[in-house]
Amino acid sequence: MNAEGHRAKAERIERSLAKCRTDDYEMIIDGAMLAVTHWINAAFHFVELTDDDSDVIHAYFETAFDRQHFGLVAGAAFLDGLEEIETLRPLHARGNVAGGEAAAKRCLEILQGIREKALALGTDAPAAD
Amino acid sequence: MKIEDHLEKAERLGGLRSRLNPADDYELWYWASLSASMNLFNAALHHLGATVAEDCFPHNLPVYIRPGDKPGNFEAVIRPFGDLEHVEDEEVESLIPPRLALAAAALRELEAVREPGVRGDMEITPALTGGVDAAYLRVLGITRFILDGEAEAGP
Repeated sequence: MNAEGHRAKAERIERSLAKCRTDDYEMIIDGAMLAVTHWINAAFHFVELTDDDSDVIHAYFETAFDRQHFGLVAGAAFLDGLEEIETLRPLHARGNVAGGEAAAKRCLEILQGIREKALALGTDAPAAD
Repeated sequence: MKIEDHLEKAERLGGLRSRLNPADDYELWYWASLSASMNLFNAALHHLGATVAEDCFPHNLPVYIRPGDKPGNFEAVIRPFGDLEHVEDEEVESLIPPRLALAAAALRELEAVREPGVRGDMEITPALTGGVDAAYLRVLGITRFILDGEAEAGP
């Protein structure tokens, strides 16, 4: 999927997240994870860090080399943000540790920050002819 | 998690699922369907004694996250199979009792469209949403039958 496709998918998920209530914290956490992943791929494809057929899925799948490589070009915040969300998923999305709603709120903050960083890298530029 | 915790989660996830539009909100609707199904499946597995019900939460099995004795403290531990994340590897398949075979098949149908539909660019069609809905309802029906039936047959 190309950068524009990932951006469209991220924005679809964000519109759905807006329909969630605070007690839907599992899906806010997981939805933020999915949307963040699409924003990361939109940004990385846009700056040609990764090809359209090579997507980031989880931060923990990426090697230390890739993390450094991505961080040098695009900034560490992309994978660091995804990793923070992924750390919260076992506790609150799959588990029932207290604080799910606060964790969900934090995930939405991470999503907002990563969306802004992706857009700043130019993923909102008009498509080339 | 404990059975009652899985059921509470599945109910809330089902509630969200019913508020989302299967086409317009496909990605989150699908994810809620899958997550609710997995909670119901885990509850039924615990109920049948196939897996352990405990407060350890899966993170790439057999690694589980176990809450510590103070808020905010957690440790990663290797545990016997408790809550499953996916139904897609040989060791996990071997745990599934025959009574849950059809529910497992429905879960595999859901898993088969996870990556292309949510992370990829699979077209969101009525056939796709209908298939997801049917698989979710099969998991719901089979697991509820096992959980409710056993409860009624109890002392």
